Amino acid sequence: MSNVEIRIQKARAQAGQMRVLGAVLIPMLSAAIGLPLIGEIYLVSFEPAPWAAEVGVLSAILIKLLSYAPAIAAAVAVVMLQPVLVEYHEGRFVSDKASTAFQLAGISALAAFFLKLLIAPIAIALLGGASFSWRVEMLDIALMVFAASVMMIGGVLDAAVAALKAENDQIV
Amino acid sequence: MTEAALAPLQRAQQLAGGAATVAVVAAVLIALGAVAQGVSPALNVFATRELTPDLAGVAAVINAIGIFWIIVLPSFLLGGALLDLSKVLDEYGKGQFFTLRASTHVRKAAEGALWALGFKIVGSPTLLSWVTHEGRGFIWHMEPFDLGLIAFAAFVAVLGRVLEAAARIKEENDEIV
Repeated sequence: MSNVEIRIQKARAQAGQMRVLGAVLIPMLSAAIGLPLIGEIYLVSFEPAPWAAEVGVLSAILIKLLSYAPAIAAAVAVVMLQPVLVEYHEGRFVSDKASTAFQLAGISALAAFFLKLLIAPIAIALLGGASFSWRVEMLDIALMVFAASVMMIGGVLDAAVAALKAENDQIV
Repeated sequence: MTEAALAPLQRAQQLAGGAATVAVVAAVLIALGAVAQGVSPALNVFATRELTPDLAGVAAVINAIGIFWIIVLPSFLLGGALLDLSKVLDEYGKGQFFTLRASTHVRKAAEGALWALGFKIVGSPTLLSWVTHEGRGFIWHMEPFDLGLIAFAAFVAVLGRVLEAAARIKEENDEIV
């Protein structure tokens, strides 16, 4: 087996290992986010705190869902990266599916930040929860730029793969 | 290659080039913001301790410097990650998509983000409490959102590794051709 083939197998094996790890970690991540959310919804529904009793059960449940929405969106971003690992595990390193998935993961991560910094606090204030105060840490802004860059990387790879395909189709 | 196929790619390249500049600016801003955040607690040390020309004075200075670095470290690490991402976007802006340099910097950026999150969540709060004698145990400042971010950065780091391996394969292939 040539050096190149050995390297390809190693890269595919690495992607395969992470794919298996991801299949285990994603349910655990979902449980780590979902179980506390379920617990908090149960509490505001059946044993409401004074603030929950004041705003009403429905509003209190919506407030809890909104406060967890950024975490759910971040988890969705992680799930979006699984197809990339599938493609790499199959040996398709330059792939339409992989670059699109990368782009979608970046969009989900960016959406998570917009939910955390803007949408959730405003919606919670409108529902009668904690009043809106825009507390932005520099770290959050930087992580948002990180997520936007991941999205850009996916977008550029997508365009590059499409251009490569078009070039190959012309040759054929 | 037809113009129709080239146009989206050229637009994406231009965007990537612009985004590289934004990433550098964001890295500089976060570093400056971190310094502004870290200076005040560090200077507070001199308000509570006397600066004497002996070991106690040296200890106070080291304490102040330590507190400063503990507070700014997550932001500096994330600034480093953004600089790595700017290099990736720069490569893409030049039309070099599947290169070793780009893939390596994707991996480094994600690993830098992981370290930054690790320090933000547990490292800095714990070290700060030890240095300021507020506590002895480990302190976690973790929200469910941070868990999702850690998983995201970890996945991107692994994808960076695989892309790096694929880029090395491509380089070897190009050499053979």
